[in-house]
Amino acid sequence: MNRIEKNPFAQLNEQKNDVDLNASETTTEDFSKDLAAAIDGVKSSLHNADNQTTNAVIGDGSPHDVMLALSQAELSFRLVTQVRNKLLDAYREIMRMQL
Amino acid sequence: MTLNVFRMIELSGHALSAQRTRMEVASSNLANAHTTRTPEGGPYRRQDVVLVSDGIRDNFGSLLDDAMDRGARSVRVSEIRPDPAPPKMVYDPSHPDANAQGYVAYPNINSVEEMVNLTTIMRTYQSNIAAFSALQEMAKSAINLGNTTS
Repeated sequence: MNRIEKNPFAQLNEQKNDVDLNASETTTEDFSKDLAAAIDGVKSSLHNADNQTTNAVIGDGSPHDVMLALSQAELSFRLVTQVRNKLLDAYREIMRMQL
Repeated sequence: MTLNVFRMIELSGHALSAQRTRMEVASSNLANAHTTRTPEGGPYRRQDVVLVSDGIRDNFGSLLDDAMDRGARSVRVSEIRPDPAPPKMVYDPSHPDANAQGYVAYPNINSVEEMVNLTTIMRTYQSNIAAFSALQEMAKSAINLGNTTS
């Protein structure tokens, strides 16, 4: 009974919404993967900076290598932090919406 | 140019390492300016660093740029070779390494020249650091780009 009452365009719209939802789901999944990969990258550059510092302390390696590794880690960390801030901002903006 | 900022940082690192090697070799030349005995025999020979520009080939884009001669080029130490100039002969018969004629072969090192080299190396190192700092500032301001509006 319900089925008949429904207008075919509404059904179409529903289907369209379903498709859209699926699409957005896949994209968010991809983005979260990208984000996780970026965070892994930051982790490895922090690790590298750590190793370089240890090497310098025990007398291996030159100071500029340490500073370069540190600034590389700092830059990537800043970048990921900024991305996270933007995401949180967007989330807060959505939560603030009047229903 | 398809280098990302981290590759540029590595490039600066290679340049700094190359200058550091030059500095090490210049220091060793100065330290051995009067060395008359070496494991190879004869006086110490002045060493020279040969640098070679090296393409960055870490992804397809930089590989293509390198192949087309338009990519950023890194630098590395190709070899450290002895200076072919003959040793300085100084008359000093009381020296244990003097030859039959009383001449001692001293290394072919001119300390004034080495001091000038040291200054040049130091300035080159500093300019590479300046390039790196500029790059870092650029990256930082790019990251902070979004903050100005909020």
